Amino acid sequence: MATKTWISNVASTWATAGSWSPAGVPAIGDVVVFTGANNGQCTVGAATNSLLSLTTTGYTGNLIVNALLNVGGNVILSASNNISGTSSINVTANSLITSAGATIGCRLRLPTISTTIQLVDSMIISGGLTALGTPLGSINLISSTPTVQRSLTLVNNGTTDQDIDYLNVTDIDGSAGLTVWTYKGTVNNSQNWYTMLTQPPPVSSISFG
Amino acid sequence: MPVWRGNTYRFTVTAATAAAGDTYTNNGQTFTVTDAIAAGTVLFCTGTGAPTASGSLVRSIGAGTDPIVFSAVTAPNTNWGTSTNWLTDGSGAGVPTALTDAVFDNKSQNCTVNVAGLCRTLNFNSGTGYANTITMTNNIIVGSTNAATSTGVTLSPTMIVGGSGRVSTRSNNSVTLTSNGYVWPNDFGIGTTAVGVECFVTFVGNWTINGTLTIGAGDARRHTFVGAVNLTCNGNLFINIVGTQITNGIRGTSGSLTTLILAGNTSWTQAQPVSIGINININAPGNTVTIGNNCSYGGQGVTSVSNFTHTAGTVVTSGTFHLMFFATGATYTINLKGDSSTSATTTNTSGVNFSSLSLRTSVTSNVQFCTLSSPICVVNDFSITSFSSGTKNIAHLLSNNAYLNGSVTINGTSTGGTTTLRLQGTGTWSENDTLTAGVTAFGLSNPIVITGNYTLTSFVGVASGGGITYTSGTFVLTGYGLRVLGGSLTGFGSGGILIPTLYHTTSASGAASNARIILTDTVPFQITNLIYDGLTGTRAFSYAGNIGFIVNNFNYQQNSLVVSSQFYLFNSVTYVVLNSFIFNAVAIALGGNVMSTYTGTVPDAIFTLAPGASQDVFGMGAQNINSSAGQTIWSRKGLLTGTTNWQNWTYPKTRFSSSLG
Repeated sequence: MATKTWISNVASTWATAGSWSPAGVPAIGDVVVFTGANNGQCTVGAATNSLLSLTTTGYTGNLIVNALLNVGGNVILSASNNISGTSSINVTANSLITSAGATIGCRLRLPTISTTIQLVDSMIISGGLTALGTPLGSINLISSTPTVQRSLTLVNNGTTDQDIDYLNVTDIDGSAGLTVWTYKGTVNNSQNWYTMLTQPPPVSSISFG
Repeated sequence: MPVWRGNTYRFTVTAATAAAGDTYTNNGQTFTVTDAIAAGTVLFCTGTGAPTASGSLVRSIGAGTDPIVFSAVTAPNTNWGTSTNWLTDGSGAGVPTALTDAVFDNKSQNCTVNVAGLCRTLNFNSGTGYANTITMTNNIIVGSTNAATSTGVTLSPTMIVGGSGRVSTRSNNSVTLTSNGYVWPNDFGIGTTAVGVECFVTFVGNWTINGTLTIGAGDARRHTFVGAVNLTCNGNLFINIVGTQITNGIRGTSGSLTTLILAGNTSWTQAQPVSIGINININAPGNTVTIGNNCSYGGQGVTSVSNFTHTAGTVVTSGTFHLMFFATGATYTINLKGDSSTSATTTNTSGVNFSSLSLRTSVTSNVQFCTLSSPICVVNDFSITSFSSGTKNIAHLLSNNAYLNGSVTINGTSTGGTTTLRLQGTGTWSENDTLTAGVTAFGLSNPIVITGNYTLTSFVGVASGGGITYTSGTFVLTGYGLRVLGGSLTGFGSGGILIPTLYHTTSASGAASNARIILTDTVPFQITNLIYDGLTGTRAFSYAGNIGFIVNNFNYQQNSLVVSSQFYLFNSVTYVVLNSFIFNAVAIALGGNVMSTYTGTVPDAIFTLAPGASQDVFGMGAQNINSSAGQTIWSRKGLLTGTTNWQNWTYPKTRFSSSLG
């Protein structure tokens, strides 16, 4: 495990060895840090190795996620971040996610069954949310402080997508954004989250608010 | 080699010379020299009467010493155990031992085995052959020590045997048995003296034994018979070989295969079922052969032409007969002309009806086959059994019919059997409970025809290529059901046979894979629970035939990441689910996991999900499936192509567009 720090002050790619200190593209299990000292744009053009953690505190550059940015642990963002892209921050293991006011402009993807994702604070997602639970196992999305709800807002901008299967949600408040539907997941102490069952109910049971 | 000279006069002489055939006189009697001596001190002669206690033998014929002065003479006696009755020659002197031979020739007189006899080889055919009587008051053991590497018994065509003693041969190294056409009237043992680990028995000429033929010494041992001769058993047959491994028994020799003929009122018994690879032919016209419990045939040591055949005679069976199966054995044949009648008994005047029959297996890698060239009949129970408890090994019966009149117990599997098993009596059918999900080594590939009254007492399996045809009688599956890897099911619908649970199992992919079930009938099959297993990789399940099923609960749940498993229904055939439809993939792979027609195109298969039934469809698509007769089927993320009344189920775009979860 090594700590890799982004040191480019000009636009570069994740895969550029010289943009990191110590030099070299982050390897599997590395800790990756973006600081406010070097704010060159970083573009993820190819799937990254799975990181132990990702921290972008103070980084004001553009983090453009056009391929999977794989994180097998905690994610710490900050309000100064500019995160966008066509792909996903792909959180593959148990994780604590700290947004600190950041808007995740790419997709947040949770691909691994039987993992638990804890929100340390409020999260705003404008790129989309994917959770790939399966009949073999669910994924848990919870507050890092039990019973204390965390806000998770899917921005209602006409493009924010959701693709959520077997996600069990606890203590998550989605009331500031789009209604969120989890296919065959469970919803506990959460607002604006609903469970989508295996088929639409009969028409007679549909209610219109 | 001591040569039998008992029942002669043994003179102690002053060094003398005489030739065999020379004659001398003493005390008014004539004495004929049996064996030449040269300056010898022992002279054997036959005589017309007793000589004086000492004196002279005066020459009548010949050119030997004249006279021969003798100081003593032994009166004739016939006892095997008298040392002076044996002429020292070659291997030793005195009474034969385990390391010396017992030789009888044309000059040998009568002999009484007054003690337990012992010798290295027993030869009655020295010279021109023994022509007198040996009275078997006691047994003779031939080759009782491992130090003698080659032993044997040679009979004389002119010998006479009295008494009832047995000749026993040993069970190691090389044993040569030469009959010279003589019929041995007493008991005879082959390999009955426990020495060493394996014996090779070479037969020279046909053998006939009128007494009990015993093979084996009651321990675990292999006996290899060599010689394309007949070993005719007019008395009883006792195969006294034991052991927990199939390697023990009687092996045949390719190209020199011995045939054991049971020709008398013979009782065939065995200590345990063991491999038997020589031919056995029941050819006992006018007689009755009785086959007892634990007799066996086949297994290790058969050749490609080994066969167990009935030619003539009445056969009565009891207990369980075992057909043996081994990992590397050649295919053998049985031709027993079993009775096809449902009222068959254990007595058959024109063939063999087994009381109970076991297909006895050794290891999971068994590849041995047994071909039936005529039907077999089992009056009571039919089973597959194993040398190793808990393992499910393989046994294959090929061709013809097996008429089964009792229960069926399967502790093994047949993946290549073709004999039609006709369950025509009354009983239970069970298979051991190692039938577990994803396991494909189970069941029978043999066609099974039910015309009797059978009740399952466990789940039973149909291996790939097998099938069950219900024709008549009763077939009760309550509480259990079938596990089918692939094959055909026929007549259940019209017969009103409800299948409580049908596990459809596979280990392969492809529409024509081994996991295709062919349903044939005029009425749909009724199944309470249809469960798919083996879903641990890319798999395919398919159905063919002219009829479909009506299922209460349909459960297809993948067990691991699978991207292209397919599920085929036959074109134009109707399949119905009444209560619950679970059709779940694990991962989303559009286009890979799909229910489609067998041909992949029109005409559609008809799949109806009854109104009110629950549904749970995740990651599974459909192609050319018409579900218009029932409720709409909602697939979460399945690819739908050419379907009727299928919909993709995506999340509502606004909170208020659909249900509240």
